[in-house]
Amino acid sequence: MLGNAYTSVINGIDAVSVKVEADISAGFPCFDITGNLGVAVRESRERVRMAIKNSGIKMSPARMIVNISPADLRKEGTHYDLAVAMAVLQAAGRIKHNLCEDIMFIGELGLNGELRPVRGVLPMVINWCRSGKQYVVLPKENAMEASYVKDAKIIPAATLNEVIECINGNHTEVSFEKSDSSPLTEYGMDFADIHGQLSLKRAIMVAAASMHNMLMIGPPGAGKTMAAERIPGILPPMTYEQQLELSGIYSVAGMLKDGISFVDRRCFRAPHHCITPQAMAGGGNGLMPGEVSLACHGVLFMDEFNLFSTKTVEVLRQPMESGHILIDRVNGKVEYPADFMLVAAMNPCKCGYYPDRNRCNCTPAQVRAYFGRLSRPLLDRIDVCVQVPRIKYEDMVCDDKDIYTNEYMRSVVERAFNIQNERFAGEKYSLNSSIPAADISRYCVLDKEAENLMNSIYDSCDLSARGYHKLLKVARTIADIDDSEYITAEHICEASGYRMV
Amino acid sequence: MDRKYWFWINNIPRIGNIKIRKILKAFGDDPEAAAHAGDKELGCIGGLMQADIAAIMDLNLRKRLFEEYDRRTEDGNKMVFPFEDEYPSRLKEIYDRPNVIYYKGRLPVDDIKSVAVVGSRNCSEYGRSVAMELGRVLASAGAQVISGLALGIDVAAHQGAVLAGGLTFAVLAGGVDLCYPKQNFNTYVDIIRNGGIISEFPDNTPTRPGMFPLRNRIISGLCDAVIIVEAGIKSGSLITAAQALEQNRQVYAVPGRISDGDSEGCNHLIWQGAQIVYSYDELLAELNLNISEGTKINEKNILLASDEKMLYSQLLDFGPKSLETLIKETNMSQMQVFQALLALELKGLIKEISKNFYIRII
Repeated sequence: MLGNAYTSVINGIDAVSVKVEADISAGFPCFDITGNLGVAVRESRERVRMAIKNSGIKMSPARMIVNISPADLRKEGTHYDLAVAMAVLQAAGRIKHNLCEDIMFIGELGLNGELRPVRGVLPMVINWCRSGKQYVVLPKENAMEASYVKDAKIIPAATLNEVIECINGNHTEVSFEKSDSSPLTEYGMDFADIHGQLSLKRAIMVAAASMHNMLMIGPPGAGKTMAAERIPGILPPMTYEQQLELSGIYSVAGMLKDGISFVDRRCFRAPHHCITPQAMAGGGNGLMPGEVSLACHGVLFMDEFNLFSTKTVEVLRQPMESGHILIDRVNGKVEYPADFMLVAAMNPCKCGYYPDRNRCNCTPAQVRAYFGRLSRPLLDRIDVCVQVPRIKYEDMVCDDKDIYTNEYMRSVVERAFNIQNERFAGEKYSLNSSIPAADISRYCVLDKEAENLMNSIYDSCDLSARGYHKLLKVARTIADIDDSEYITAEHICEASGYRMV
Repeated sequence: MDRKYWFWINNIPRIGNIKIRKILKAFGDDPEAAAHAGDKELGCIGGLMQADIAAIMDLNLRKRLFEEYDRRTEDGNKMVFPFEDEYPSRLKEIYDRPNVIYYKGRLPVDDIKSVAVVGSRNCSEYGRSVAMELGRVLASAGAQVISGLALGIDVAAHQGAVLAGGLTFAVLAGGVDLCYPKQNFNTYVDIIRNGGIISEFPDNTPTRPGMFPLRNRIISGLCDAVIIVEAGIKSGSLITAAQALEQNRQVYAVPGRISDGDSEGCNHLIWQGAQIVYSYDELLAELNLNISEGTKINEKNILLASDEKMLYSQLLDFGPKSLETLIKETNMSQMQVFQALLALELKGLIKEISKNFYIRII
């Protein structure tokens, strides 16, 4: 007799539905699974057999063959257990056939028959619903994250017996209450905590208003990290699609646990500078998403920027340009989104105090060498460069709040986002920072005075074509903050102050 | 006199300038006589070891060095010895003159004023601009600018002279074919075109730390006056100054602030009685050089808006100031400060040396 059940294969943050077929026939007793399986999937036959036995279901010895089709697709992971068990039980006549057609089964089985959580649930559910189906049976620990998919009907279960019960009872609703998904905007940190540093805060606001990549240079202890941590708090909330995409990445990475079931806030990722290129880009066993993807739609903070290995830093080039990263390894090829805002921080020299000659003894050659670790093409991709001076005593003890609070900065950034969304309504991109070179002249319109100024800057500062475009994009963002339709000389001046040195 | 013998005596291993001086004194500045002298005559010279005498009398060595001399002259390596007319007469006067000079390009001319501009490697932006200006002013007044091609002050002085199209000479510690330090290669090439590179050691001699004081005595020896631009209290430029005094040259120092470590050596020199460089015009007058139109600085005839003037003249200093400080001290908005700074930068009056740190350069 034949039995069928559906589950999914994860590929990147996408999923493909696959069918698990089981056949039980007379012959020498055995249990085999076919279909290009990884080690974890092949082991599933032992788990399934014991789980069925320990759930109190008697199976007479017979020849059991399971195939997961399409058979040429590589299968990795442990979430196939439940689907295999359901297909086998159907083949054995324990479950009626027609009941499982519209249900996707996800879950790992324990030997005692309990269902255990797995990673990558969100993309699988999204894909299942995209194909017009609704019902998904999954471990109750994964139920929260799956419930964020709007059309899905989730049936959470704790054991194999529970699953069988609700299938036999014609999907008796084990209803699940969706948690309310009001976007959280409180990050617990406020720019008001940073005293003084007005020019830094202004620069951060400009950078955040269009997710421009930025570099902060300053002596140790000036507040670079403190400022960077607060950037996600002033970015506007993500759209539902962005949240779903980001949660998908976290789901695939197995990072949706411990009560976090959905990523609805902008992320702040701060990898340590000893990170390998692979961990930055993604890959490894199971082609996991790397830091660039985990920071998607949020902030990737790289402290001690020049201490990262050259390879790791150069990895950033492609995703910074295109917003996604293609990982091509022995066991497959996946594309992850990697549309992040890079915030880098570094000291101006080894001792950290250049150009304060009273404290810094570094020779010009040492200073150059310290900077020289960063490649010019990479620096070219950083739009806003700002200095973080040492904080003065009066500023530190002074308790007067300046205008730069989270509330004010977020309102400014949000307004700029809205202006940009409106302007780029018909385009593939939605921010100034990602205007392609071909469209710059259309969107960055200069007035007469600004044009003359731009001309003299280009000649005297020896800008590259990319540097020129970058300057215009930043000026465009400053103009948006100012609510100005044209870019004026003032905007160019400020943008030029954020130029890379 | 035979140049071959001069070359030979300068290249015997383990016989340096001091021993050569003694030998030449004993034989009346004639190395050929020394070559043909016997054991006894050589033994009378104090300070010569047995091994040295053996090396002097070693005919194989002599033959090899003669061959090397031929090869070098064929290769076009230029060298000059004290008995020759081209040998700079200023150097002849000094007590420990080099007994050979290897050079590329030209040698300094005797009847043109020569001025050395030296200072520390690790200099401030202000020091660099002063050195450059001194090089430019002196060269356009017709003086020969001499320095050591080191990083910092030295190379800035050369660059200033090259900029003015004047004569400039660099004295290297190692061989003249090795550009040391290599970062200054562009200037090295410019100097060969505008003057010459000079050294006491043959080609291919790598530079070692002990050679710098030797080099410094040639710098001060070649010129009429030495200007120290910026020197810490332990700077090698002070050795040059001391040697210049020994050689009876005029020593000038560019003053610095009392608390400024970079200028402590200069201030100390002034306190000891060195001449102070108080203005370029006065300096030229004192050196009997003509003040030509080109030497005048054109700082006054640049028009500045009031914001720019305020930033430029009152706040910007030769030490760097941060953007934050400038905003605070002017009470202008960030936008206005950026505007004024950009305008000043485009006019070439200030420079952004590190991110958002600005200094004036004229």
